[in-house]
Amino acid sequence: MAGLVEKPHTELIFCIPESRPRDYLPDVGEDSVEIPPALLRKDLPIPDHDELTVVRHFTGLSQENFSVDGNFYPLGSCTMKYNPKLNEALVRDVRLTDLHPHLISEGQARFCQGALQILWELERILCDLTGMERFTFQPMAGANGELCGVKIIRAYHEARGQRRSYLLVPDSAHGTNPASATLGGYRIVNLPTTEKGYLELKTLKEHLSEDCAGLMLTSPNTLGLFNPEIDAIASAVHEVGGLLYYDGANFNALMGNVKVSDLGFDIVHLNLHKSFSTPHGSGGPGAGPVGVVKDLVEFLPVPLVERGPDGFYLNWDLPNSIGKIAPFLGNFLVVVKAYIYLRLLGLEGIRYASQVAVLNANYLRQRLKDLIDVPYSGWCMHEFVASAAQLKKEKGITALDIAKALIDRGVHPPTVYFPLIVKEALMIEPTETETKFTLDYLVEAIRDIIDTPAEALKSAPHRTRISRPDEVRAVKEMDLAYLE
Amino acid sequence: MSQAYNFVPHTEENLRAMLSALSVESLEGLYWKVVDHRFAGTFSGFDSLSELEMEREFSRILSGNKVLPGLVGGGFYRHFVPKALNELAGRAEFYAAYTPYQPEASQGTLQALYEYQSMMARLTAMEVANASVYDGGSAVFEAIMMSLRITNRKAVVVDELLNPIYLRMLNSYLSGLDVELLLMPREQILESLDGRVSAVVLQMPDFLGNVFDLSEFADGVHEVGGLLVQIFYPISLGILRPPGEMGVDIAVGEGQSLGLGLNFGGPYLGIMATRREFVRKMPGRIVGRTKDRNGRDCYVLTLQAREQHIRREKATSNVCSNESLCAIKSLVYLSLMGGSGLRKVARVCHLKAKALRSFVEALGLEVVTGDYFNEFAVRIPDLDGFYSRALERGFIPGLRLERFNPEWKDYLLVALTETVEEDLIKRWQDSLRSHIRS
Repeated sequence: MAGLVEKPHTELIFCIPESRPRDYLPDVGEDSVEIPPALLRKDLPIPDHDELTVVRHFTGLSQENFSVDGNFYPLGSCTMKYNPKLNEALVRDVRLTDLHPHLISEGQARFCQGALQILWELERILCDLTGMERFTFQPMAGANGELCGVKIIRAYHEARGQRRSYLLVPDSAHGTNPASATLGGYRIVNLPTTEKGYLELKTLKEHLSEDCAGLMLTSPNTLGLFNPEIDAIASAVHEVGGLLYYDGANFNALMGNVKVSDLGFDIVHLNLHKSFSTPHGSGGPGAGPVGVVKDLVEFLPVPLVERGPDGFYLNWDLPNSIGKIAPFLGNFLVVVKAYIYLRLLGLEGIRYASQVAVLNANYLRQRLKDLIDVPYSGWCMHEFVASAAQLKKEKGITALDIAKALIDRGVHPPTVYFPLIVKEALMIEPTETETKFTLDYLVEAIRDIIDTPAEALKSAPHRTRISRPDEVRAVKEMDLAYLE
Repeated sequence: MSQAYNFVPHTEENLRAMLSALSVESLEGLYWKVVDHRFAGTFSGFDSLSELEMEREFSRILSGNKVLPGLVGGGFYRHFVPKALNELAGRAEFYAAYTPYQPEASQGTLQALYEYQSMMARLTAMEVANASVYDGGSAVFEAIMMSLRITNRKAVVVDELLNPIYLRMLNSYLSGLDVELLLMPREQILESLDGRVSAVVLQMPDFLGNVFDLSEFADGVHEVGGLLVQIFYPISLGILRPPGEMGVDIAVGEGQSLGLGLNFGGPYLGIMATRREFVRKMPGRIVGRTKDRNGRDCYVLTLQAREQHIRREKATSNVCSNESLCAIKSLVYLSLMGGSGLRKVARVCHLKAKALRSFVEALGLEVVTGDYFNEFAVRIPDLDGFYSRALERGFIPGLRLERFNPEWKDYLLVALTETVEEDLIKRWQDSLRSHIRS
């Protein structure tokens, strides 16, 4: 690629020569400001550009990205399904974007009946899908939901006069689980995954005691396996007085088929940006509503949305509430997108989507297992983990090489090197929105990569503008802002 | 009901081919092979809608929302959003991308976030910023936790005039943690400082709209080895002296005003900026500039050893998903407005507030806010009467403060932005004049 002229948009917005900006506002005359001079700003180092320059800059940047709209994105544990355009179009309505949240503080429910109706109806749907009694929409992401859940666990035990000290987390869990539990004031006890690929009852029992506040679990787990002992595990935790927390990261495998309450869970968070098609937004905003069984409703954040004879209203009357997790009712517009998605699919559609997610994963797994090692035999759910450990030994091809070479073939890489319990892990989650044609293409792409000499892969990707950034240099130089 | 199969693309033929590759008979058969059938759930169910029906249904639902014009602020403001912003941030290459863990497939997001970090550092006159946290309130919490890590202390002194919503969030977030939260009036803060204090947290402009110099607080807290945290209002920094020029160590703010809209409470944007020396103690994702194997400038997520996916229970925070798209929106907003546009917005907000403030003062009403930017609190006798008559006339006159603090009976908090029309101000003034006379 040497000799290629850099595209102008790769110039930082601060380095593009300034131009005359648009003036978006009417003039206000020459009246003097009434602010003490010592509080006035002198220097404001934000550049001026004309609108077209800005439009070109960000259009150019966007074209440097892979996205679900442009590329197959089989990123394990992230559920990169298609984000319906209808969701995006409908939430641009000014009756949502201009709706002031202090209507909530003022108790002016009459001006936001539509918004409250959406929350109320979506809550009923989520309760139906999970078997929980009530939901809060405040948590602004999955990890925020975990923290909310951990606070509810704590409040529950304290209401019983107990100070339990630790939470159990399997070693295959997402890093947010132990981090959230720590932030909620608990000590973490890590539970090892056995050779079967999931948490076994006998392992759990070794770590249970009256001092255990509960267990955080995702089902299916990060290996895409459904734990057949799940109900016995729940009983064992309940027997010592602990609570069972469901991390909804993998709910796409269960929705409309299995109720998490039937598995014995007491608290649930759902990632609306995974299971319910709201976009990931380059890393956020997400939404992580939390649902609880009846005994825990009193601890939910305030306010809750209720329906009375005069319409929908906000209920602040929860004396044992853990308080506030979000300033208002969470990432509301994200929640609205999930509502639209669920209304479009209905229960039948959501069940079907989940079953096809399982089919697509098993189909890919079946076709790939002749090419690459897939540990933990048997059926998977919506995702599975392949391992390049054998390939590395035989041909020198690592999980990272496969990932980078897939970029050249137009596919976003799977999640690599996670979960930590599988060597050279490639975690693959196709989702239900991909065609057989696309799934088959991934198989052929991986076959093509494996047939390539390892040395030729070490410098991949070759078709992107940049390749294999020096991450050590990034840490060493800490160039985190352009201030010149 | 084929509409229920929206977004699943398989034809019958493909479905059969895939099932037969797995040697199973049916989709249900496959599913209940993977999961024991005794776990099959019973659901009450809900119907599916076609896109046409959904659009109509949604429009019916939204008719229940009434967006009244008004002077409501209280930390969350209606500002003008250039149309180009939503077109750019609405590009699916941004919204339908994942966290940029694969740099070669995400240079667009990564460069945009590096520019966002730079833009926030410039706006606040700090040295570095992270790539966002959830909202202003969680940013305050994260700033406190960060100060504890830096100082190894446990007490935090917090001004009573923080946004009460943030105070409620702090109470929830800090419960169960080994942190001592000392809430007090601003006048008492300096004399209360000692070697136990990790940070002083001030909001400027404060909840009642007061603007003030933070330098003396910076000197005071630095003298005892603690840090100064400021909660700022981004738009105000178009005219007000920035945190970095007043000795602030961690600047946090709600970025909603930078082109995001009100959105009935979210999604919003938690801005977090600090000094370079503290960056390893900062939570959240951070993008750094580096070189690729051919020596080209490029961007990567960096300093990840702080984060939960590496450090698990020892991470600086549990935050994973942040508000990237909102961060990109705020960057686009500031790029479109430019420094001169931001200055103008800030100036317009202030001048509108100045005009209205002199109006209420001329009526002999007590304004309890001192120096101000675009918001002030005024005591209006029989406020509830004024308020409900204003609603009847089709506007919300401001935010009543008694709900937040019983001592603030009859206080109305009034916020002016560039979006407030002259006609509304006139109606507001007429209503107030006739209310005072009656």
